[in-house]
Amino acid sequence: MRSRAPAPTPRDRVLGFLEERASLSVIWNAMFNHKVPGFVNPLDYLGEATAFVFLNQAITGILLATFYNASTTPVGNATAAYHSIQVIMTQVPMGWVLRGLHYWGANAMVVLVLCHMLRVFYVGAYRKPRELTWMLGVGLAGITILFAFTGYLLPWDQQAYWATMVGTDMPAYVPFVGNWLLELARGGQWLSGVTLTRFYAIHMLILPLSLAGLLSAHVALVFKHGQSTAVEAEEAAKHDPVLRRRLVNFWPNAVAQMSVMMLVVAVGLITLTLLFKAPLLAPAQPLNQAHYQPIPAWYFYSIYYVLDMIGRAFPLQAPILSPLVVIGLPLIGGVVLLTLPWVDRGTSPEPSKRALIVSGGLVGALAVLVLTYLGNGLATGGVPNVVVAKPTFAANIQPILSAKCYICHSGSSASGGLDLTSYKSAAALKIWVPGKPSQSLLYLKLTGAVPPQMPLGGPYLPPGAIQTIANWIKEGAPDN
Amino acid sequence: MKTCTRCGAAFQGEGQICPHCRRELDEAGPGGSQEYEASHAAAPEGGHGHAPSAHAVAGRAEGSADAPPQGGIGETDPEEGLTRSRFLTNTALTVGGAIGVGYLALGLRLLFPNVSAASTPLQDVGPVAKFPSMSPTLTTIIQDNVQDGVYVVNLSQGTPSQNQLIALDFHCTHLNCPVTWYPGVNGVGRYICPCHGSQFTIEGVHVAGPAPRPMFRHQVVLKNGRVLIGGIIS
Repeated sequence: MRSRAPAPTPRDRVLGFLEERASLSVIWNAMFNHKVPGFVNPLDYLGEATAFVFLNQAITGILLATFYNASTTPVGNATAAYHSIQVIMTQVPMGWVLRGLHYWGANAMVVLVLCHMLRVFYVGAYRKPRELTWMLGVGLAGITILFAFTGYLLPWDQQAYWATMVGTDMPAYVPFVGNWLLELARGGQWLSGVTLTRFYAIHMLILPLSLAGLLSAHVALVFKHGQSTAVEAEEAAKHDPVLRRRLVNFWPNAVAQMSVMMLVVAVGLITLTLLFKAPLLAPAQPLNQAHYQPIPAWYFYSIYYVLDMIGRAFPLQAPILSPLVVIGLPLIGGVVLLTLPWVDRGTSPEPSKRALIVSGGLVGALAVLVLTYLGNGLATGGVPNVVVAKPTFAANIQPILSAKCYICHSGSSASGGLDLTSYKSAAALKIWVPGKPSQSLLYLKLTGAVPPQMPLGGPYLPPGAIQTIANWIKEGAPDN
Repeated sequence: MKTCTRCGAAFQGEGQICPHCRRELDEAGPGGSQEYEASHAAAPEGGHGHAPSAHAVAGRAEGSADAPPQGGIGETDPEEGLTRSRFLTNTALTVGGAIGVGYLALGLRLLFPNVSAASTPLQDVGPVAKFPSMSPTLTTIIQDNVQDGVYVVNLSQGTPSQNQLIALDFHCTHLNCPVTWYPGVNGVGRYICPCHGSQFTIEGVHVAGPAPRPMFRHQVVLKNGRVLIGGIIS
C-alpha cells in the first residue's frame, strides 16, 4: 500500500501513516484479499443479511433508548414505559420510523437466523472443520430469541404483559430449580417494575455484549475457513482452468454482492415500516378487566399450538404432558442442533448423499412451519373475521360451530345438554328464532348480551363471524 | 542477516537483542528456535487440517497454571529461565483468575436471593359483607407496585368465619393466564382459563385442562369485620 511515487498524495500519506503504525494491510488482506467464485447463491449471504439486521437493531435500539423510560410508574391509566412509547410514536421526530425499523428488524432477525441455519444445514456446512462456527451460530440463534422475548415486554401493553407472564412461567416447570428461575426472570412472584428493569438491562446490556462477542468469534471463524460453498468451488477450480477463470477477488466483487443483499433487506424493512405501523395495544391491565386473551409472539406459535392440541387430545394427561412440551421441546431442539456436527460426520457436500439427515431436518422445519400456521389460526380465533352476506348452513355456519363449539357442545354429554353437531339437533334446542337474531340465544351468547359469553372463557368469535351467523338467522336460519 | 532464536524473526545487524520480540538471543544459536517452529507449524497460510506436533502440544500445556513444575520447555531450557518464566506465568494466571473469580462471585451473589421485593403485607380488601355466599369476588392487592387479582370466596351460607373464607390468586397454575369465574357452568360454577381451558372448582381445585395443581391460595385474615389478604401461602 505504501506508495513509491516521488510525490505521495495526501491519501498515500494517511494510509502510509496508518500502515506503519497499525499494519492495516495485514487485517485487510486477511479479510478481503482472497478468491471466491464469481457467482454466489444469494442464500449464502443470509448470514451477512442477519448481521446487517443486527446492526439495524443496534443503531435504532440505541436511539430508542434515548427516549424510552423503563418504569411502571403510573401515567394516566398506563405506565411511564407505555407512555414513553406513545411519545416515540407520536411526538419524537421520525420516532415511529425508528420504532418501526426496530420492530420489523426484530421480526426479520428471527426469520433470517432461521433461514440462515436452514441453508447451512442443507449444504452441510456445519461439519468438520466448521463445528465451532455452527455451535456459535446456535448460541447466536438462542440469543436472538432471548432478544425478541425481552424486547417484547418493554412497551408494557396488554400483549407484552400477558405474553411475558406466560413466557416467564414456563421455566417454572424445570425440575428442582424451576421456581428459582421464575423468580430470576420476574424478580418476584408476578410481573412488576422489577421485571421490566431486569428485562431492559438484559435486552440492552447483557444480550448485545454476548451477541457481539459470539458474533466476532463466528465471523472470525468464517474468515478462517472460508464459506464452505466458496471453498468447494475453489477446490474444483484447482483442476479446472475454466472454473479458475471464473474466480474473482473477494474485494470488491463479493462485497458488492453482499451490499446488494443488504439493500434488499433494508428496502424490505423500510417498506414494512412505512406500510405497517409497529403495533401498540391497550396499556397492560394486570387485572385483565377487558378479558384480553393472551397470545404468544408468532415465533412461539408452534409450541402454543402443540400445548393446545395436547389439552384437547389428552385432557387427562395434559398436566404431565404440558411441562414436557414446554421444557422438553426447546431442550431437545438445542441438544440436536449442538450435536449435529457429530451426528452427521460425512464429508460429501451433496445434499442428496445425506438424504436421511437432510430429509429429517427438512421434515422438522416443515413441521414447525405447519404448526406455526395452525398456531396462527388458533391465536386469531381459528375463524376468519369475514362477513358473509348470504350464508348457508353447510358452507358458512357449520364450520364455525365445528371449530368453536363442538369441543363442549357435542354428543350425549354435551354441556348444558346442547348438542350442536347437526342442524337437526341444534334446531331442536330452539337456540335461534328464524328471522330474529336479537331473540336468538345463539346470537346473544356469542355477543355476550346473555352472559356468559361464548365460547366460554374466550377467545370469542371475531365480529365478522358473529355477523355472518346473524345474517343467516335473518335469512330464516335455513338448513341449506 | 540474523535469525532470532526466540521468535524466529529475521533482522539486520549484529546486536544480541532481537528488534522484533525485544528478547536476548539464545547462545545456542538458531537451533534454539526449534520450539517456535514446531508450535507455529500448525497455523500457516489459513489452511486447515494440520495436526499440531507433539512438541507444540507440550509447549502449550506448559502455559497452564496447574501443570507440574517439570517437563515441557524445561527440557530445552533447564536453567534459571524456566523457574522464572514459570513463576511469571503462574503469577499472571493467579492474579487474573483471582480478579475474575471476584467479579464472578459478586454477580452470582446477586442471584441468591433473586427477588428484590419484601413479602406482601396484609391488605384490606373491604368489609366481610362485601363477599356474598358462594360467589367469588375479584379483589385487588398490590404486590411490588403492580396489581394482583385475588378471588375472595365466602364458603359459608351467610356471614363467614375466618376459616370459611378463602382467597385464590387469579393466575392459572398452568402458565399464569388470568382465570375468570363463570357462575353458571354445570350448575355449580367454574374458574376457567382462557389460554388452555383449565377449569377449577369454587375452592380452586383443578378439575380439567393442563393445570398441574390447584389454584394458589393467599393468606386471608378476618379482623373486626374486615377482610385482609396477604401473600401466597400454598
